[in-house]
Amino acid sequence: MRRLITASLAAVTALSLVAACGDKEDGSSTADGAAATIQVGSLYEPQNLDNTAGGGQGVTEALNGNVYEGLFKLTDDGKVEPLLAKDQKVSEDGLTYTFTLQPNVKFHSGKALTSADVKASIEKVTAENSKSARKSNLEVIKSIATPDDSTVVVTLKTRSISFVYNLSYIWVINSAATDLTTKADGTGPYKLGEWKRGSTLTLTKFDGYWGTPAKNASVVFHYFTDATALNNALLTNAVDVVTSEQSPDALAQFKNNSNYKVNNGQGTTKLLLAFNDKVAPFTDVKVRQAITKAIDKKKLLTSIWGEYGTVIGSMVPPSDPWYEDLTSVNAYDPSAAASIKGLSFTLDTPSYDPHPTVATFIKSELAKVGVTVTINTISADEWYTKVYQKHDFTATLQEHVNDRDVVWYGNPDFYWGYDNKQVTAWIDRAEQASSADEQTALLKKANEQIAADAASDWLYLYPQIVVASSKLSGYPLNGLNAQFFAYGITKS
Amino acid sequence: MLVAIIAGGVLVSYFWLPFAPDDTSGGRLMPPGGDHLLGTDKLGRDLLTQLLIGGRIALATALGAVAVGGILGVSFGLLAGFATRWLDDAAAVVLDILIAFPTLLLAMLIVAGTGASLGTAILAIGLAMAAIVARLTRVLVKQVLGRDYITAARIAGISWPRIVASHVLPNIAPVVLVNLALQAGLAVLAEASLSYLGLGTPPPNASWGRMLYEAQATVLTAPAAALAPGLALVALVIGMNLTADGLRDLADPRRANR
Amino acid sequence: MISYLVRRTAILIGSLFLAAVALFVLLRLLPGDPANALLPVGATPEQIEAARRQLGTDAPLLSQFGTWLGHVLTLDLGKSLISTLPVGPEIVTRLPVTVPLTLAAFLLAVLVAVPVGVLAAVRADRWYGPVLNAVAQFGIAVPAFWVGLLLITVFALKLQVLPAGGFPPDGWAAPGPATEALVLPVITVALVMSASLIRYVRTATLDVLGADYLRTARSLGYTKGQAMRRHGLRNAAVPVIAVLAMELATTFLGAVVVESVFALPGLGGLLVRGISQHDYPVIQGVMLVSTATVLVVGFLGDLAQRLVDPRLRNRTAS
Repeated sequence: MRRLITASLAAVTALSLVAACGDKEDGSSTADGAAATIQVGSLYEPQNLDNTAGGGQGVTEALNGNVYEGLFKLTDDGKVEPLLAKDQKVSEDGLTYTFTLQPNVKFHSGKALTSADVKASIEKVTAENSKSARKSNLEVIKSIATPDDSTVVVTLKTRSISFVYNLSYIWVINSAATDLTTKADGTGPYKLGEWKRGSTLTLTKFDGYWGTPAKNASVVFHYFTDATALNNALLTNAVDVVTSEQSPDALAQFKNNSNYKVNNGQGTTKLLLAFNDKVAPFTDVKVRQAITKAIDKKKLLTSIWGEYGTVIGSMVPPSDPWYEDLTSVNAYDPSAAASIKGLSFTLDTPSYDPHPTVATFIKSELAKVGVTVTINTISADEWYTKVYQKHDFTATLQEHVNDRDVVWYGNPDFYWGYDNKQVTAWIDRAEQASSADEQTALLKKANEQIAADAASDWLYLYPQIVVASSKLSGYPLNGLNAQFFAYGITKS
Repeated sequence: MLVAIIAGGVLVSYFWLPFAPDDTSGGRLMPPGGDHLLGTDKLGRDLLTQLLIGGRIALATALGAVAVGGILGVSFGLLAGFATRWLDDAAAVVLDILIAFPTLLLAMLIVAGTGASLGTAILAIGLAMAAIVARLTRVLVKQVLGRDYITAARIAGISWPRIVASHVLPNIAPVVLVNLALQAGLAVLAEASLSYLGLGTPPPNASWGRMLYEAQATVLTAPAAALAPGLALVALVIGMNLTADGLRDLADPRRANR
Repeated sequence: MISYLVRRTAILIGSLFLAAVALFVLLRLLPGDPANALLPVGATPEQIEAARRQLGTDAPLLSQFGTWLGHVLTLDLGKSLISTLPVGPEIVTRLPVTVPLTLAAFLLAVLVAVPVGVLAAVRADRWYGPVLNAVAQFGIAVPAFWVGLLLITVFALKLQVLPAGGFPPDGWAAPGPATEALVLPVITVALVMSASLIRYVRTATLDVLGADYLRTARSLGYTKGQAMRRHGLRNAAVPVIAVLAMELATTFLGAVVVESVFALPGLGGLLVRGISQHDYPVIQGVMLVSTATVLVVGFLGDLAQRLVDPRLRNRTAS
């Protein structure tokens, strides 16, 4: 018997020895400079690699600007700059756009870029079975012509001031490529390496790139489903940078550590307490205003994000050109909420973080002014069917992630049911404006009005926090709309 | 003993709590000590309060799942025990398959469809438990039915329902009860795992599994929050297992001496 | 033995079929429309209908089942609704994580549990017998994810000797990092598993120790140890083998949770994601593979039990 025990103990010890001897391979120190591999940690694995087939935000993060490029790009600070379009001309009436393509651009497969690829790529987004979020934005296109290999002419049905901005989301893909859900053929500084589903996605530097080459040799995205596991990976040097921190409590361990840098960038994700403006009691503007005043949003933000994040008082984040600080509108003032004492309503709360915690907070805040909140926890799927499709709710919580999305308040059929003819008119006119200034002025007016009406209660703007090893530099800080340009990253 | 202490704590929690469950007046992530014996969570809620409320959920799971599993399992097991030939084979196969679906997977499936809630979790765990209890009951019933006194009772003209009530049930009860006590501990663990995966009792209710999930982000800065619910969980389950051992010793004194 | 084998095989096949039916029915009875996963924000009723047609979820249930079963028999598990990629290959790419994890944990647990369990029984009269038993008692009550959390905290975050989670991109092509990545998960699963196994082994050994033939052997002049080796172990093995088969299934289950604690790209992670996304083909595929594995292991366990215990060989299955 004793021999058996000794043997098994030996086995256990051997196992732990393997562990101890298997020296920590610190991937970050093996190669620096242009030969370096950047290890990126993220919570957003792509569903597939096709952004018109429901690839999700992960596909934008990994491939946008890295593997695929558009005619234009949205820079990290929110500006629209030409990329594959070398030159653009707009007709007097604002309906015809003529784009000249960059010369000598090659796809990763070796094929040269032509105007036919651009046309096919736009049509892929507007196609019947496309699931692109930009599909409705491009319905304004009347026709696309390709007079020669380097010229694309797009004619619009009506003026659309955000047309060029929208083009920055449209990837130019080799029109001959097949199976885009697992493969890729773009013009970007990286080509797709191996994608191990559920684990990692590798990008390697493309030697035939037309522009400034990437400053590193390859990028590996490591995917996690849990924020804590992701932070642990950073703490143990398994990754060099985390694209977007969702677990603020863990930041303390990076903040006071000189090996890491915590970057506080500009986010675009807003957390909304969305009222159903078409059902009682929220048909009444005064009730919405009173509820808005009764919730201390500063305190909520501190509870959830500590010192990070911003209270903005409206739907427009600071990175949008029509941002203004509206926190003074319907500001925190529980004494003004006396009129709604005795009110009660049900709050449909998505079951995933941070919604349940926020719902708990709102419940205890409103209890102080005599309002009873019943928390009804629902799954993301249920939210989509019940709230978003059927509008069967009184109030709900939801995150709205995109920039420039205040325009939804111009659509009376949207789930929150805000219907103000004046606001709708302003937002429609803004889209057809002839100058950016005019667009900005109109959207500012719309934003002020919805804030005054307390159309929803905008609880706070999420911070966009990138935590990186202090050896790393050149990474994007704001990650607008989940983009993560990796080509400028260097490791010392 | 352990079960009694925890049950006592939970009972007390219905009359008195250190702080109101939604009271967010404490500081954020305060360390143990002072007003808050175990410290506070990130919303400033008292951890001891949360822990006691979590105890309610754990006990509710144990009792609920045992009730569901016990009633369904014993009923089905009795029926299967009386079945003969192919019906018996079929029952055995069905039970084998049900057991082949591990509790947690079954619960995950049910939760996926109906949404996460304590009721769903209890039902799912109870159903999975029912399969195990039914298999045990079936075997026990078969053993009892083979005994001479059953034959004697049949010859004496006693009806089957009366035989079940006066001979079968009393004979299988000790072993089934011991098994149920063991299963109660497993049910508590299963609920904690489900909650940990975000498929059990939804927040803001403080299930111990959920508390552990939330505490893991701050394990280096606030270790108490990651230790207390875990220890409570272990204590409760050990308590239930010891209760099962005690019951077994009562039922089978021959073993008690070992 | 042959007739038993035939009968047991028939039961296995029946079980597999019933499991497939149960899986299919259970999943289709659940609310939540898989078509939602396919739709863009703001879909019209027409688009919803189109999505249902595309998925085939508008067809009658029975014909959906027929189609599905036909595909399964030809090892085609369908395509994920979310990623539109085939499920079969997806499962195969996950096996190099889950299979080594399960087997290594199982092996480690057996290596620890069998000697410790026997020792706890044979030396019940010494001080360490009850102590071992108490430790096992504690192990049974500990949730696996908590053990994982504590191990990560100590070995990965504090001591920094092992990775906290994840799996190297090169997989087993880089054996060093791949092994390292599995050390903590294996220990986690094995610790929890060996605890319950120790209790089984101990009980089985205690039963054997009290048996008449062992007393007879000792009266014939064998020492306690000799008697145990010659007669006891084989007898104690019978119930333990039955339990081992069940435990192997439990290990897989433990792996599901532990994989999500350690962010491992295994079957468990795939299943959890499938469930949260209502991705029916993925859920069905993973559940089918795991249920089939459990049933087959149970089948092999039964056969092994018969081989070890001659008394069972001539009996029919009960």
